[in-house]
Amino acid sequence: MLKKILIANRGEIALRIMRAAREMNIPTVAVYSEADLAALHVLRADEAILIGPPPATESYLRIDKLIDAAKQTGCDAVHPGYGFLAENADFAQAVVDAGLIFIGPSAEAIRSLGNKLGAREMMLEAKVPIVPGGEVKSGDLEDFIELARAIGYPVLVKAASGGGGKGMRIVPAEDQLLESVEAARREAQSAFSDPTVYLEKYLERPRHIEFQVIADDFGNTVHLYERECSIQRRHQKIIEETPSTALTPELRQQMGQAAVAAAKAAHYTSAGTVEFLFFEGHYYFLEVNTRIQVEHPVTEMTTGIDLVKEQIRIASGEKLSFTQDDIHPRGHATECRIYAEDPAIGFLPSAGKIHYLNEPSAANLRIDSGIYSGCDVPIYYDPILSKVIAYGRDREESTERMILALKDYSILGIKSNVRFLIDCLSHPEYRSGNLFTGFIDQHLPEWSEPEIGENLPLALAGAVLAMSARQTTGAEVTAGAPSSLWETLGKWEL
Amino acid sequence: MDYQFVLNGQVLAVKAERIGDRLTLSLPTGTHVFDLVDLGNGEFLLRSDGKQYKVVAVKASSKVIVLTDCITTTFDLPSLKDGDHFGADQGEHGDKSKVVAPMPGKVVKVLVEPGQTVEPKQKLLIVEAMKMENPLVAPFKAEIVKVNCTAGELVDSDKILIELRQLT
Repeated sequence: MLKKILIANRGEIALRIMRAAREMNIPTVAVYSEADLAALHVLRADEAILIGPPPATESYLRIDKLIDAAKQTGCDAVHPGYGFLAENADFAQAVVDAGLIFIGPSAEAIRSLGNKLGAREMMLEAKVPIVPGGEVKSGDLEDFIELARAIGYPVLVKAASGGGGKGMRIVPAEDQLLESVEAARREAQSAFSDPTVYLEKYLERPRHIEFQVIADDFGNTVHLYERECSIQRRHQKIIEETPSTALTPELRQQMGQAAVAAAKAAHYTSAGTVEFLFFEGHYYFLEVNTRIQVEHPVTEMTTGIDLVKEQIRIASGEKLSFTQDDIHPRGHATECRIYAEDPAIGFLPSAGKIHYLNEPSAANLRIDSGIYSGCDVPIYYDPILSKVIAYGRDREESTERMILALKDYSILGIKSNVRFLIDCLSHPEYRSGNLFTGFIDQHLPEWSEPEIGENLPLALAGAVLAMSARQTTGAEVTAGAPSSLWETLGKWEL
Repeated sequence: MDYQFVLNGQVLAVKAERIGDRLTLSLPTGTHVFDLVDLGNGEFLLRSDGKQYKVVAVKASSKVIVLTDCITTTFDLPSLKDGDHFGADQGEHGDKSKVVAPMPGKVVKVLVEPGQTVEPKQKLLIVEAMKMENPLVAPFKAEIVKVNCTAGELVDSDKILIELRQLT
């Protein structure tokens, strides 16, 4: 078993990994930047190492500093979490080269799955359905026209080394094809130093359905069923659930097998996610995420498997502790990501101090949180704050439990998407399970925070009380201020 | 005691009196009486007409933030110096004819030029911060008076990026 793990991440996922390791009696080391001196993952850590100034490029993305920190503290393994260096093949390699264990797939698997064209080829060979399309090896514009006709419009021009929507263009008709190919090439060249672009059929109302896979070093690869992650904004998921309302048992079976085949084709080990687009009863391979994912808890709720612990066991050289036949998901789980952002103004991130926080608690409710009342949300990193996961016997119960939990999720001082999530989950189209990746744009395009209306006197009463109350919320506490018994007994002054 | 709170640019005058656990609020629109329980940490239980409400209220420098029934209301305090200009609270108070950087970031794209007329919510420029590209939009119909930044520039929070003149 591993002796000590360095967690090369921050926020809720660092705490999540810490908890798994602690349950296995493995000590952990946290790392932090100067912006995170009082972050929750640091406060809760047994040991914490400062790795640099606030910008991620000078701290959480510094491979050399992370490896130094691991060696300095006697760690024998590194867990990358998600984001930052989690899917960086050079980091995985550097960890191994330093004589440490990388808790995740091999550098080769990360690299080979990172190139979109390469991954398409690999899946084609493994007989995993891919979105119709392909590369134009000659690079001739004439050949692009021919390929696009064969695929059928609308088509998508995508960068081979791309990500985050850069170098990506939707082409509705032939007269815009050449212009789009050239623009995408320019964008891809400047963003990724690789002008290679390829064509794919553009699916207009797809669902995003992904399969959790996990594999050990002994050739055992198991899938842990699907997660539907169609509710997205800015191409980022905000609500995820399992099972998906779109899959029949037969399709679920087929897609699970395809996911296992995809993982095997890449000689994948550890936990990973095979993403598919799902459209009109057909599924198409999208990409493999070579990391533990933000939404992994929904799978844990319905399967009872602790994915992070399993990753640690696999990294220790153990066999998977279960087989495919042992996995029988039950019930329904939904996850909502709580972000520091304002959904009313294009989901603009909102940094600052959290003056008040109260997170809900209830039966079959899980909160993975990286914040506390009085903490700061720095401007430097992804604005995810926490995740709320609600389990129920069926989708209805899971959704109701989630709505109630969000109504009890109180956060003051920064903007959050809590109210927006409630409105998403309450939408009739969400309730009937008619999801697709454009759901938010179509159903909640001009969302704004509801106004106080007839409850204004109530809010004003609150404002008056806050003005006259002694500040004990952490919001305005004067450090080291003397507090005597007389003060706490003092009469109200209005 | 008299209070003034600013909500959406409108000044609300409140007269409040507390005797024991009873809070009486006199507003221009009427008088409201609440029986209250102070739960600590900024949490209050307010009872009125047989109904009971949970209210969370905190004071943060120049603002009071109140949460009631899943609705957050941010009141500005006119008497205090405006000292809290950080994050997305930007633009809720102060001079809306100046579009300022809500946080330190990089200007990715400037989408308007001086003299141009923009519609409410029209994107003016895109600033990259917290790993994301964030559009800053016009608060109202306006003419662009001045553009103080260029694409690629790193800007600090509160820097005035674009100046507007409101059109009616």
